[in-house]
Amino acid sequence: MLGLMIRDLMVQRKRLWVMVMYCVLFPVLFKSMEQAALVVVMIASVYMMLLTAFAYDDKYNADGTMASLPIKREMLVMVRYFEVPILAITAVLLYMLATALMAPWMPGLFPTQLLLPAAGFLAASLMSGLYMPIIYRFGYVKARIFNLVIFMLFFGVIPVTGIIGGWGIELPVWLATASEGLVTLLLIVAGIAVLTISCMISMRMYRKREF
Amino acid sequence: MQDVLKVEGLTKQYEDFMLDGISFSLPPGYIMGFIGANGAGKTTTIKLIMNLIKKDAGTIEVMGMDNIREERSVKDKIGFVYDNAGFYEELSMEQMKNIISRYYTRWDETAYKRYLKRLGLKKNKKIGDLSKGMRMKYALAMALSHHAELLLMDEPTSGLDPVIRAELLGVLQEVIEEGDCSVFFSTHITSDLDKVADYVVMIHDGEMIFNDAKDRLLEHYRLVKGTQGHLSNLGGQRLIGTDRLPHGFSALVADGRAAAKAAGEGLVLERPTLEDMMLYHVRDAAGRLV
Repeated sequence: MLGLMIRDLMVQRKRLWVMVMYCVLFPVLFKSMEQAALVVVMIASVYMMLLTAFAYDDKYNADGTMASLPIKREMLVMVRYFEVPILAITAVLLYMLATALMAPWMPGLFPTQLLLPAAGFLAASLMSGLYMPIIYRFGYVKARIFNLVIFMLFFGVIPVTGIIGGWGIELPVWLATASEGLVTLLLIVAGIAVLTISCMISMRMYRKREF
Repeated sequence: MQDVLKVEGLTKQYEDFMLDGISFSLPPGYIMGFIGANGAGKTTTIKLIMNLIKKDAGTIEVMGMDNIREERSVKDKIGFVYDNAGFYEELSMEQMKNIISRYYTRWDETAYKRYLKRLGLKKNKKIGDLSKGMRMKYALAMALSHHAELLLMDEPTSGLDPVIRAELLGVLQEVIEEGDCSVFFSTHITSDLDKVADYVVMIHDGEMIFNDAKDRLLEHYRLVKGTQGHLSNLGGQRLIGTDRLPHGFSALVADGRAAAKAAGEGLVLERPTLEDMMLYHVRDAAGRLV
């Protein structure tokens, strides 16, 4: 597992600078969101890094090579899911560093609420969790059309409809009055649940995949 | 002695192509050439052996193990070299080796370094900067560095210059002489097999054409050339890929002696190359289709 993660890190090491750029640029671009810009940074970083990993596999026909090694196909799938929380944490740390350095000129961007990284993790998990089974089923190239749909859904439809309030859904009293710690925990558990379910679907898809 | 590779009734159906009940077996310590025109089903067969695609029927055993039930053990014993090597070009050879080597239980770092040296490769060179020939050499070095018992090669010499092809074939012969490994080698460049193969399997349009020891094939098969009279006399013989010429014909026969006896005096018999055998069989199949 670790070896496969190192593979992705080595192959995409130049892309890490793009993550750094997100952490510097997004707080400026989404200044009105204040600390919540962290959520955008997390979604963008995780999604970009994951997609790039799949793109490199496709570009170099590495899928066939990796599937020819004595590795369980399930392991090849699982590694990409384990990378979601790792990339999310990396994005949080980079964002914290960037906003701490920018604080003298742009105060109020450094995240002080636990809720935000957790929300970012759930959002990144939802986006990746929706897309990865499609990639494992159809391959990276054919799945790109779905990428557009998911991207529109996350950055177009959901924000426009006003998330929960806009759909007229009221939170249960216990949740609306719950402590920040509990809500944070619930968001993280929800993110893990999304990734777990998605991973199981992807494994099923990948077992049947032909190269 | 147990066959290194045993394929029986292997079938895979696509919309426009069918690999139809292919069977062959490779004894330990030999090189088997797998020939056929482009689209004959060679890569499909290799992908089926590696379980990269799902078979519809048949069995594949590697060292007596089912290639699906014992997939990881089987893959641990196979060294693979694909036409499209499939390595990350962003990485150096050393980095790629570090990723791959950890999954083989018998990875041999000393052997790896020896093969890099033997093939003139610099370990820190980026894979993206390697020529096609160098990439194939690297793929071969990787395939040979974990004490594979079966080396599976899909068109490894396709698109390479004669010098590099000769170098790769030289390494294969050395490997066989050391007695550690058997080789299954798909190609449409049959001259490579003239040099190194012990057994030859030919498929065309997904069907098995022949499967035998190369020397036996070359001993029995003959290219025959003669007059219309000879052609009439050969009525009872199976002529393969008959080419009618203005004053006679040429064809391939599976039994040169029987053909000579049936045709009578004056029939010209020539020892065919593997390329001749492939061409005449393909022509024969095309003729049958018409």
